[in-house]
Amino acid sequence: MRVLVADDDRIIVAIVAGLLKAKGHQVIPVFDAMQAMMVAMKQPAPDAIILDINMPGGTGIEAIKRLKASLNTALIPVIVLSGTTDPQIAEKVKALGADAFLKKPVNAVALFEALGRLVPG
Amino acid sequence: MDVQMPEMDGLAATAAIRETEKGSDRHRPIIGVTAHAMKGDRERCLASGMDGYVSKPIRPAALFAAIHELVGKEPRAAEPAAAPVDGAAVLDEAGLLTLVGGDNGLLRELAGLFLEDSPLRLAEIESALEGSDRESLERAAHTLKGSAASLGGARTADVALRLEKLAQEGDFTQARAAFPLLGDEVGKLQRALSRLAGRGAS
Repeated sequence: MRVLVADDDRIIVAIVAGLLKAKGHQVIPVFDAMQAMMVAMKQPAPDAIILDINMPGGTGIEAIKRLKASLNTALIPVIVLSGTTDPQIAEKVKALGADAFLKKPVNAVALFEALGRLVPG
Repeated sequence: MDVQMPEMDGLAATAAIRETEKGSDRHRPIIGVTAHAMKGDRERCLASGMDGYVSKPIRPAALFAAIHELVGKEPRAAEPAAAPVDGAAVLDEAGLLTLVGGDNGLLRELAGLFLEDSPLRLAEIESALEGSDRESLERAAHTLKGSAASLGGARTADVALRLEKLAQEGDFTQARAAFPLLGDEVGKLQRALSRLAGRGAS
């Protein structure tokens, strides 16, 4: 599958990209929320989006809202990956339409479980 | 340290750091990084008080060699007697090796990114503390926490989290007091990562 990975911390992007590439997946790395939206709206659309919500260039929260509001991108699974200290964040992002919430540090098992569940085939 | 930077270049910054170390036993190892391998770069870096020099594009082998050379020379007494962070290891090597799936190239890439980026985060935190800038402090501490935790650096992540929370509370006094410990922990994690990556390379 082709996965868009958006995080302003390139170390996180490198870790997630490494995990995905090791399983033969393609990765589109981006480093802010605006780029994430632009890439998501291009064809062919990515099969899934892994998104940090604490980024410059408009927040990831705004990106989730816009992605889920657009017909072109509403069906792409969005997995939020965040290290936020807000205990209610999982509920908040799911209420906005995010399909899964994963807490940092990056956990390979949880990441592939979410992808397997959300991306058909 | 990058040599070409806005406001204060790396040579001036190094000279300023060396000035603060005068009369003390402290000597922070500084490796200069320049964009183009120009004749005389090495001499200028060393003349400013730097201990080593590498040119961009950064080759992990050269960088690790430069670090090893300096860290090996570092006297043991220079190790900070910082209050330990409870229990956690500096680096969960087994966890990180599992995460990269035994891919040494990825391990070296991640270690190299942390060695490049963590000093930037520390500098952002330091200037946010100086300017009492809550938002910048929270962001930089948050980012450092996320990458350190994901690489298996629980102690660095713990201290970064402490600073992130202090930023949220606006408690700059406590945050400033915790900053030296963060610097120490980041240094230990950098050394542990470069050792682990160096081992994978051989």
